[in-house]
Amino acid sequence: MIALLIANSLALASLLIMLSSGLALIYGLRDVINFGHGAIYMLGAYLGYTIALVGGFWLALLLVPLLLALLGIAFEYLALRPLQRRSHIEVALVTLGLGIILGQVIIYIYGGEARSVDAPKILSGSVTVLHLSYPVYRLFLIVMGLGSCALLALWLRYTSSGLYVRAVSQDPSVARMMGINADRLSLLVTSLSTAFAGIAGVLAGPYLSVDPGMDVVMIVNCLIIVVIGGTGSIGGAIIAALLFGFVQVAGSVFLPNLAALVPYILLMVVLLIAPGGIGRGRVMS
Amino acid sequence: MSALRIQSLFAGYGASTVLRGIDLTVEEGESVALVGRNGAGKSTLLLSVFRETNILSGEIWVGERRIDDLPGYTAAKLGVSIAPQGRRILPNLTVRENLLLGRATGRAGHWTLKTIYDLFPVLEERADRLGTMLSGGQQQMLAIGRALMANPSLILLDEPSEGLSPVLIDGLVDTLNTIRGAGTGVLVVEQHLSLVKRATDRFVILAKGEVVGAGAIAAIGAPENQALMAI
Repeated sequence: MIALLIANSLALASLLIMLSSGLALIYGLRDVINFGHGAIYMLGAYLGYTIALVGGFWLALLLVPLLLALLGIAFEYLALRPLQRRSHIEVALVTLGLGIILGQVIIYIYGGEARSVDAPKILSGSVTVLHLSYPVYRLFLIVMGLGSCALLALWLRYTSSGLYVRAVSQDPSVARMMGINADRLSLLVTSLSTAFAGIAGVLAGPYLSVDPGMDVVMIVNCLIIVVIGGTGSIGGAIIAALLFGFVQVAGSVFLPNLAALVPYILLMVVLLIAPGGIGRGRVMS
Repeated sequence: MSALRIQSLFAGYGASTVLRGIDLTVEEGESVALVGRNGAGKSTLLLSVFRETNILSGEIWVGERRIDDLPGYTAAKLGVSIAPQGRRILPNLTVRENLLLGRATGRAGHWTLKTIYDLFPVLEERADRLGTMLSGGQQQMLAIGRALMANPSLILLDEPSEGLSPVLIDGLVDTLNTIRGAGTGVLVVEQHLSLVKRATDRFVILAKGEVVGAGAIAAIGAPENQALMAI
């Protein structure tokens, strides 16, 4: 029972890690909460659905992140850079507005009903691990989530561009004086963040359903995670996503009537104990 | 060719103007002290090179390139680096990572991790500690080392002796002379006259945002210069 609970928590947390770490990265570098991140994830899910119909799941998993990375580049050039001297609330409202427009365009094209995506044959069915039968696709989700989390950590910790991202997020002024071009880094981080949202969208297809409300649910969850993690902290976001996944899954098992409230209770408890969130600082802490 | 040339610079913060028509030139390999009372505009002048202030008018040249309308990181890429006031060590980075930030300019030259560790052995001993865990003197070494890692043609130092004991200040003089010996020019904002006398060629006095005096370093103690520094 406990093993199943942990496995299901990890599966849910995997999606949340991919989304909330992207959100935290952009916040760390640009001081922008991207309220459109949920809509980008939804676009990834619908594009994944469409490409999977034509060329299969694996092609979708390859193409969608690339397409959404291009969208991230456009987002950086057309929204974040022109707005970088505007107030936080103005930029946040623009991202919210762009997210709403994107969501409505998707609904206009695909309609209001939910779509289902089949997992590829190799990932369908179950496998027995430690005397526990568990869906292969969920194990795949966990591997993808933890794998992308590890790649992100390795990039931030061991590459020069990762070091510069951490520097800009801690003190943009010093980073600039050291010769770091924050705009170029932001292009990389924004496209990486939208690409991660694309991967999460494609992976969500066979796990959850592809439906018009998936953006709102996910952005609310991710915002809770980013706040619990300590705004802008990748390490904090990862731990918060794992915690969130666990309380969400445990809540739906042990307190089904209160399950929807559990994440908010978690948020309140964490903020009462640690008002700045559980992360120690920005980006890699 | 001048390493840094500033002409008729007016700059400040928001609506307030701090610098009023500054002219200053530092030649390659030269060591210049920028002196004056607190609030004279010395730090503002250094920060203006990196566009960390609001530049109202005037020109800033690094080598043959005018940079006052270019992004703030350009000065570092062209060969000017800074150890800012208060050191501003990045708190969540290790000593080694703080030093590696200097590589962002992509400039090659004498200064590498090895030569910095030769100059400041204590930084190698504490390479994996967080930069802010170092003592004040060690943090100053780290700030200077980080600036040198950019292999600049000119290094700007803002109050490097701030908070240092007399023994450490002697060490700082040796460091500045080593930097000059490696062919790097120095522009140092400093209150300790004993330090600037031993480590610079000439001085420039700033008062109320204007250059009010200048001369060879031997003349810095002259009564008329002391009077200008007290304005």
